[in-house]
Amino acid sequence: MTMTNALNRILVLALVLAGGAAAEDMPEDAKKAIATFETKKRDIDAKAAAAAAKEREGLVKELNKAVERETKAHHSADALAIKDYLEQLQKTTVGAKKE
Amino acid sequence: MRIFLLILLILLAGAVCRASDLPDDVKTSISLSDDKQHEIAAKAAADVAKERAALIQNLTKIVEREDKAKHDAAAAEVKKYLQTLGVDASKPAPTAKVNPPWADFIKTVGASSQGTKPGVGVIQIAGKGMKTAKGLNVVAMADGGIVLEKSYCTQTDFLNFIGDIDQLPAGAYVVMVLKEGVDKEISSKARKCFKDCGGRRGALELEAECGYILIGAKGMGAGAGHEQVSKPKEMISFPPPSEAGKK
Repeated sequence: MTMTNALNRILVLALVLAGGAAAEDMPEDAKKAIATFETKKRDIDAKAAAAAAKEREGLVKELNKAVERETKAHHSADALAIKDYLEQLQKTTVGAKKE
Repeated sequence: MRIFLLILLILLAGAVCRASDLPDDVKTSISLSDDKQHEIAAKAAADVAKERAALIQNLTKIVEREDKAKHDAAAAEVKKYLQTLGVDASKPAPTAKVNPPWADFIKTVGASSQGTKPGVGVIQIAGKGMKTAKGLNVVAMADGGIVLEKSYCTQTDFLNFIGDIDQLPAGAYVVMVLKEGVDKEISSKARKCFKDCGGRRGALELEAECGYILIGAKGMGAGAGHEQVSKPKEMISFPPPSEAGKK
């Protein structure tokens, strides 16, 4: 091992240790508080997303029933309008999922 | 050419009719579902804001502790994180007797309004929910504390409203949220109060079932505050649901 290689290795090691030390400077209780907040935020977001999806599912079911009802009653314009709305809803749901 | 235009017109008319052809019960279901979606988003935003406010409080205490213990590196790391939350920990924390800077205050405010019956009226400041009722709900903060937390609905209430707003010290922060609506025939003097607090339109000449939010300060100047007016039956929130989760 040449002298230059050895110096390079020492330099890299020093840099790695310095980086680690900076992250380690955060007090443990602060780390814990941040982690707890991130977890709670994720939980809140997930819960809200699930509730919104459930709400949307309920609406879709309700609208599908309305389509059946209007079709049976030969109200084709109404049935078509609801189907259009459902299609739009489906598109926005797929779009939102992709995002 | 004329025939082509006629066909196009018929097709366009068909599309418009279809959109407005939704049966009334379906329209109601859609509207109710929209309201619920807004409610879910507003609740999530308020919950996150509450957690965020608690975290800021916690980390600010940790910074103070580390500063006292001369653990500069540790304090700097926590301050760095606080900055990502929009808090500048290098500045002294506001004392209990001083209002926080406007930019900091507005970040701690959560509000929702809907003018339907039953309506929605939510005011949160620094994660704390304020009491609201039917009518115009007003919360004011001066010298770092809540100095006004009232609902105004009737003509008599609004006479008190004028007096209450007049008595606020210049610079007091004000949050107003309309729930369900207020009586008609409110004194025109009350309208001036909205402008005194940074509003432009005010909540007294809105269409029925509109929501209203104003976040401003006494003496801020008409239109300088944050004012939101919803369409009838629509629920509005501050911060808007799309921004509520952002750091």
